[in-house]
Amino acid sequence: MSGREVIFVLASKRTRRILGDGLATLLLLALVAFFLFPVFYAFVTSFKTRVLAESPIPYLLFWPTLENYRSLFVDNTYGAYFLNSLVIGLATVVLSLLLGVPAAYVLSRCRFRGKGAVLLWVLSSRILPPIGIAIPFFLAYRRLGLIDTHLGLVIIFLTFNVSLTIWVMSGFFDQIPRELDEAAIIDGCSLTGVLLRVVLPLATPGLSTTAILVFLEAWNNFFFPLVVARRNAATVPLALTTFLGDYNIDWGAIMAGASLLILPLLVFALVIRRYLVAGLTQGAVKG
Amino acid sequence: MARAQGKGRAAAAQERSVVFGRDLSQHLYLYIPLAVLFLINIVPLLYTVYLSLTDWVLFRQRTPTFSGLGNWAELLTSGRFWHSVQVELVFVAGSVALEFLLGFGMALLLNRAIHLRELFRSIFMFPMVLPPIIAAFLWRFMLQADIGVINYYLRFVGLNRAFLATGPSALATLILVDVWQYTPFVALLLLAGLQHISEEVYQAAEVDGAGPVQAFRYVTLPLMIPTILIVLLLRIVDALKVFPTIYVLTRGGPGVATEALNYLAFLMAFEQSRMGYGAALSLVVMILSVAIAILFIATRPRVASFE
Repeated sequence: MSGREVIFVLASKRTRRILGDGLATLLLLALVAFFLFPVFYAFVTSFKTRVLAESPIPYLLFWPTLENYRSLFVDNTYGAYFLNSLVIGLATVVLSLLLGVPAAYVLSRCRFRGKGAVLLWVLSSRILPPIGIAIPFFLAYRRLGLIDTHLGLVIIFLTFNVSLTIWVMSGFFDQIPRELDEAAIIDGCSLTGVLLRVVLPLATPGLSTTAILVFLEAWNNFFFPLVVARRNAATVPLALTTFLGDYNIDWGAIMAGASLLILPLLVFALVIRRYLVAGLTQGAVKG
Repeated sequence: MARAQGKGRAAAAQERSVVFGRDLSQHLYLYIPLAVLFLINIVPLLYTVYLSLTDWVLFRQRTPTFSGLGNWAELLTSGRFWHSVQVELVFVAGSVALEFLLGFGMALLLNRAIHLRELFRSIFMFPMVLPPIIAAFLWRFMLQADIGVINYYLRFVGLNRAFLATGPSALATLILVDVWQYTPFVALLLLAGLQHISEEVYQAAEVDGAGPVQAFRYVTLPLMIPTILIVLLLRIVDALKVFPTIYVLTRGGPGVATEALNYLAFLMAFEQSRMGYGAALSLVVMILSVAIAILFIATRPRVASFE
């Protein structure tokens, strides 16, 4: 091949595309390393002894130990916090769906005056910063004896999860043809009947996406537990930060706790990956 | 989400849906949740407004005493407050700008028809589902001055440093953590927008003699503006809420160097027990967010065609 031919081959569109794709893949692999390394490193560290975890040399090959996990559950009653997170998360999901799904259905299907204002109000409660309502909740909970209770946390988590449910679910309902509802109504079905027997079975992906998003919000939240929970109702994020992470940090234990907290999230992210990004925008791109 | 039906069809469908009009349960379905939302959103908000006009140091006074605009006067003349506004703005501007630039690049890479694209997409979803508190812990662990893994490698090139020891570098660290956690979110949202631009538009541009740069400038960018606006506004509103990363990484320090608004409000309300002053501070955060939200709603009509 002469030099001119080589240049010709390099410049041809197909070659350029292949080279471009190769370069793109390489760059993306570098980005994957950047975004995954911290998670990977936390996971690795969770199997290190305290001496290794605090060694200045980041060994990747070592004899793994389950000591950190043992210390979490035996010395630090991490199991109780895990259970708290789970119970509070599930209760939040159930209540948010019970309140939010019917409302989303009505907002998606029915026509009434002031609907736009209602939608705007619902959306705005997502935009409000949590600190704005934390103070009144804290004061009210002191009076009502709800400080450091599971119920107290569930109620405060509803402040943003009901509106999240309404927005995400009304987006899913909008995609189900109205003609189906109308046919069922003409056949004598009540609104409740239509929702339960016709629309919800079709909206199962939406329902599971919403449930997971609400669960993530409750599971991940740190600010509200910090304000209204102490030890009895402490969730994992709070427990990690205040009991393990304050002074004299035991990094191995923290990383073990973090790994356990992260694991279900990664599974959930994969389960709803098709809807995750749209769901996290919480209806804002619904148009 | 396929919401491609034209306005006319949607309106016609709504016209027809008046069959629902007579069912009583629809009122229950709507008004019970709205009543709950009123109770847990609006009432606390109004109470915060009231509190911001009172003086109330918990454990010292039994009830709030009305102090008019006293808290607001104190706030507006406080150097610490204005400093925290500045920290907040630098943090939001820095992290959102970086996330946008990096995210756009990532989206363009992911938009190519390469192998493993779905795998990449799935992997990039991981950071954004993590609790911010965990993201902060991961980075605090890696960034430790003496035993952190990042300094271990930087030491070879002589760039190791105590990341959280000086104000600017602590703030930069907070931005880094936010960028790590939310750039993929920006990228995936922008990617969704890119995939809505039809191939034909690019072919037309190519026929007209546009190179890749011109195609990007005159086809991609204009068509992406609605998506870009949404991405920016969502990220700005969320970045304004920054708190867990500060709590874990810097506690507002060194000194007050990374004391953003939420953190300052938290300190005043829950560590110094000054409910009234804390309420006023938290309202400032709220006003900022609402201002952004209004901007968002004002641009909404232009984004109606997205997705």
